[in-house]
Amino acid sequence: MLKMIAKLLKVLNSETDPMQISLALGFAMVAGLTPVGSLHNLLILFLVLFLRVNLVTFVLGFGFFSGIAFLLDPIFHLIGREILTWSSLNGFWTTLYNTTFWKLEKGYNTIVAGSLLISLIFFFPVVIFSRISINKYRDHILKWVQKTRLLKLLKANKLYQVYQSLSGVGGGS
Amino acid sequence: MSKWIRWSGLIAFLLLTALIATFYILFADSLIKNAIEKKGTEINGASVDVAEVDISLFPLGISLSGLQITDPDEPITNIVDAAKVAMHLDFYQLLNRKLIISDVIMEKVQTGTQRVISGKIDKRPTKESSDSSPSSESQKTIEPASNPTKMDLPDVNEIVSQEQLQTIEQIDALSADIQAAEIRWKSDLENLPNSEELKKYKDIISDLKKVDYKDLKNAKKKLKELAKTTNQLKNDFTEIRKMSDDFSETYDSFKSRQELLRRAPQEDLTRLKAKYGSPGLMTEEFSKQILGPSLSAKIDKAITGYRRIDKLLSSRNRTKGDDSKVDRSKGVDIRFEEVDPIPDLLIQLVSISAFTSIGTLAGQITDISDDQVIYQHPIRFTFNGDELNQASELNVVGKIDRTQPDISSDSIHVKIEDYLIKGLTLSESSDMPISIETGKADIDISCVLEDGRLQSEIRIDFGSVQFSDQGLDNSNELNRTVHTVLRDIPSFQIRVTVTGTLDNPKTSVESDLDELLKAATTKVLEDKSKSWEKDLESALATQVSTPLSEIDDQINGVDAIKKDLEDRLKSAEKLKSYF
Repeated sequence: MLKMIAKLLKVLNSETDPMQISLALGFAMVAGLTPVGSLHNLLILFLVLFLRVNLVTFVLGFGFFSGIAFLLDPIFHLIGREILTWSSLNGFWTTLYNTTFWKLEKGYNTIVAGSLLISLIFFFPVVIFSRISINKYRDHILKWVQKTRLLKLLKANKLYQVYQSLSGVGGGS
Repeated sequence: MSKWIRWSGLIAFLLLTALIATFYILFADSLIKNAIEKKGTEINGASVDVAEVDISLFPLGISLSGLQITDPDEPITNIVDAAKVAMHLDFYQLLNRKLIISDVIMEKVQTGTQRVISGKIDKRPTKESSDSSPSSESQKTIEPASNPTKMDLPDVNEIVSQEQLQTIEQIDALSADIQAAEIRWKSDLENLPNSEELKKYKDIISDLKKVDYKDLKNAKKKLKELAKTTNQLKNDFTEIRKMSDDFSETYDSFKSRQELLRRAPQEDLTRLKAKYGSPGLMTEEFSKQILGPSLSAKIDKAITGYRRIDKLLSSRNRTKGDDSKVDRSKGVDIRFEEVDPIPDLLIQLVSISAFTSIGTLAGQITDISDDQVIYQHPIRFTFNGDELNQASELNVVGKIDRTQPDISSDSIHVKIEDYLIKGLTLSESSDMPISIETGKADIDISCVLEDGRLQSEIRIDFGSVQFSDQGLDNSNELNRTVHTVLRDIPSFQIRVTVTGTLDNPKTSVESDLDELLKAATTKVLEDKSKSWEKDLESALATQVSTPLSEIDDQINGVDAIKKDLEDRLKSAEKLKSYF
């Protein structure tokens, strides 16, 4: 747990582009909330590795959102059932159902459909909100923290030692 | 742009996916083996084991070695034991989540092989435990002799002591009536003048008639008293007459009932003979009685097997939104109309080569699918004897048709010619064990099941038959007679028809053995029956003799009242001239 917090702080306090961190968080949310074996997660994995997004954030975010998904599965099922049985979308779903991709994706499953829809809806808000938050954190909180005695105290703390030991971890490069 | 591209990430992705693919390819054998064993066991209800799995990629195929499917009812036996099962899969359809198998070749298939370890997976009730029923000593009943194989007719003493005999009931009723009448009559007699008292009337009247008319007052008084006494005498006479009439009527009815009682034991005997002896039943439907139990067991087993197949083939629920039992991490698959609909599971052709006790069988099963309504092809199967060592010809043809929603139309036709019989048990009954030592049989089984209605006929023509004397009980006369008759029968026919439903099958068995056995055993059964009837008559007579003599005594006791009443009436009648 300490290591995870330290890793998060290290990333937040590094020079990593906020967009790389927030995008990693967005991808982590999609991969974490939806069933891990879904086909679209292969695409997410490709994007996470190919695009210069922060891997530490992705890994931490994936763990976090997977835990959330466990609690939200019943809600995803209800949402998925609603949209899949919505009569006006029947033609659309039928077209998708007749494609190999959709079968592999198992998009006709209530939990897959519900979780994918929710994670896609929240993808951009999460990316944008987290980017703004990181900028604000760096501009205000980080600078303020570095000027206070708190940091000096923290440096003497075990957490800081762990933080220091993790130099070179993550980052956008 | 290069700020956002990580070329090393692309290589990492490719390596990672290659790693995952390699993992699946390397461990696919174990993964598929485990999947088959797990899913198969879940469906079968008893262990499904695979010794080895091999996968070929081009073309995509799976080969199983040592496939063993446990019989759920007998977990130490395999229903199917196949040395090798090879199949080819449609890769493209697999991507569409459809398991389409173009062909399956099953080699060296055997049935009924013994397992090294039991394939039981849960605490399903075994046949032994489910068959056992609690016996209650307190509810002991006498079994009528409806089983012809059992010559032990019920114990006559037990019958007469446990049965409600009509003779005894009638005796009890008559005894109670006599007792009540006796009390009433005695009471009435006490209120009536006896012979002595009646004689006194004569003296009184004679005395009163001596009237001295000179003394008018006294004469008037005497005449008045005379009239009063005469009246009293007249009343007494009337009462005695009335009681005498009443007595005679009741007494006669008692006598009639006493007479009827003499015939009551015979009626009891007739009834008890009909109930426990049933000599008519003992010679009818012999084949049904003998073959019925073992046939029923075989029919039950066939129905259980059919139900298992039926359960596997039942169309899945395709209705939308049925989420009454949703696994929280799995959700529900909502199905949509397919442009080119095909079932999720389809095995187009299964070729089987099986070893059986009859010989080698070669067969084909076509169009096994989990949704015949979509596929519109019923499952068809044919098996033919190939290198048979116990028959000259064997042919099995059948179909399982579920192409119409909610309508089933299944059939099977089995034909075996010149089946060599060696030690075939026809009756496992300990009272009448019947088995054929050697012989031949032509077997023709035809079974149709449409919409749950069963229409089945099994016809077996036995020839060159030699019955076995094994288990013959020489002390059992019927058993001995039957075996003597069977010894001279070279050929016979059995025809079994099964109708009704799977839940309630109605079996009828006919055989030309019936007439032969009936003719031969009738005399034995009749002799035995006659002896038993005599014993029953004797036991019945013993049982009712004492109560009958008691009734006679009671009626004799009433005779004393009758005599008394007759005396009084006689005395009264002598005085009739006085009024």
